[in-house]
Amino acid sequence: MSDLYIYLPIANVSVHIFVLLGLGLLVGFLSGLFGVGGGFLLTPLLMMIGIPPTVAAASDANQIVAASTSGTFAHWRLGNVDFKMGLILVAGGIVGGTLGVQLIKVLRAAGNADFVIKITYVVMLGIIGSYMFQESLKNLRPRPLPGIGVIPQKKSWFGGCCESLPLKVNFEKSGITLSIFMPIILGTLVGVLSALMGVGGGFIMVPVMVYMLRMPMHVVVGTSLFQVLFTCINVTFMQSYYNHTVDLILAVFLLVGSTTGAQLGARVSSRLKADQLKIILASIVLLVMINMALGLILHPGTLLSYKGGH
Amino acid sequence: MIRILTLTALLCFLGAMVVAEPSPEDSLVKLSLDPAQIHVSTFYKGADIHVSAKVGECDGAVLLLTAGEEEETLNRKGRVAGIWLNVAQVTVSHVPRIYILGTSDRLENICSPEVQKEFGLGEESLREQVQFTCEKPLTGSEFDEFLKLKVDNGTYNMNVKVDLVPAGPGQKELSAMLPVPPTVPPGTYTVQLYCFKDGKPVERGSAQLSIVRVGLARVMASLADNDPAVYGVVAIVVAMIVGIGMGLIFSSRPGSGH
Repeated sequence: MSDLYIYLPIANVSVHIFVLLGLGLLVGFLSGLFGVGGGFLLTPLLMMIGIPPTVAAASDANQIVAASTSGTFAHWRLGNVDFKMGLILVAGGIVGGTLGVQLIKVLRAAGNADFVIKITYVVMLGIIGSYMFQESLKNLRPRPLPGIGVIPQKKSWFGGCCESLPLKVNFEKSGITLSIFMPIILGTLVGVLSALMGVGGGFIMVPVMVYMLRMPMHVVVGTSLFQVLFTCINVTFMQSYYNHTVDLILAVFLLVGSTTGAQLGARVSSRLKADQLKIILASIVLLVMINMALGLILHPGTLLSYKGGH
Repeated sequence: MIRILTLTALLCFLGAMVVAEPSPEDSLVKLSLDPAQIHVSTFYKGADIHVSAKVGECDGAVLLLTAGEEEETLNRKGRVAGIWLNVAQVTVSHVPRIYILGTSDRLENICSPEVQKEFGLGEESLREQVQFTCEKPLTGSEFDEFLKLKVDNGTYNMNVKVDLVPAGPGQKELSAMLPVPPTVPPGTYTVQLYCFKDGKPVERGSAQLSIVRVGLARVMASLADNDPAVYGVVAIVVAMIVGIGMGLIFSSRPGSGH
């Protein structure tokens, strides 16, 4: 058992096979359990086991290609993918992903790529973890009786801005009409984050589709996976081509673990209370965030570090 | 007069040659490495190299696994607004790619600091060898931080035990296990042996160690470096095939994506 190490030729490190499968399994299990993506947790966990941050982010994007392929395929068979919206988001995602990869290249040359990846994680995990924690606590409190306490929807500043944008398009599958610029801009922003963080962007894209694009929930997950698939294909190619940071062997081991874990998680989730689980996930997210934040604040082990990812 | 002076100088030189200790090159020891070539394959996790040799009468031995000097650029961290950032780039020259040192006793008990410097042995001689340059003023702690980085990485190690046991009259058997971590890149490295008696070098030997990537590790690394576009496409296609395959195994239950 102690000899089951796998050599990762791009990361140039050896890791125990069970550690990689275990990480994939854990993150996949959480993904299946809570119905959210695990990419945003996997990259920091890979960094913690000694994978260089730029390799961790790029290889995570590669393994998300696999996860989102099977997810998109399954949702397409159920008729839950808005391809028109998805393709526009993809166009934005490709532009954003390309910009993000170039940004990493510039940051690596300046020696700050790893810092930017870590600080982006701290901020994003902090926001998402706090939001989830707050939402779950709110849902655990006793709810008002039906018909009492229904808050009337008022048009926000953001909603006003969206309505004033030109080139309105009707998205039949989602049953909404909005400016083509909305999904392009949002797709671009998610694409930049995907490249920086090595995540599919689903955990940002799903709330964006629900709260900003007002898409119905049954179409959101399939369309998000479709967009994430293409964004991650682009990020994987760009990271391979420009930065040479995709470790395919690492990605394959992770996705074998994560796809298995996702199935186990999905089976367990049906037997447990959703909001209590969400609080546990939020706590895990916040713990990872605190660990990374401490890494930026506490005195580092050495004051010199290698330039670049590997 | 000139002839007398020349003759005197020649005699003095020959006399010095006779009185001086034998030069290490005069008594070479055959050094055996097992293995002499490390194959970095899919399941590689570093390697232990068994070094053995038959040496003459000596009271201390030093083994050094090292490789040619190169230049490295490192990031120097500094605190800005409470956060540790890369604040400068430090160029380090004359850096051995690997530095694994094994001794049969404490190095200061085997030979003098002057001899250590002459053969490039130990921390102090490494401190003199490695040079730092930076666009910002040097802090003075660069070498200690550099050494910490290399030791953490596993490429520098000065705590390897060398066994030196009697093996017959006037002979000793030397053996050691040199750990080579997985982070050491492929290349050719030299294992050098220095034997000392009363602090003076009496014997030396060397052997070559090569590290080569083989199989899948070699294909992957070479494709990623030489043909990144093809590597990118392969990475995507493999991920999609594995994703669909795993989905089919588990009947493609939706909702497991990111």
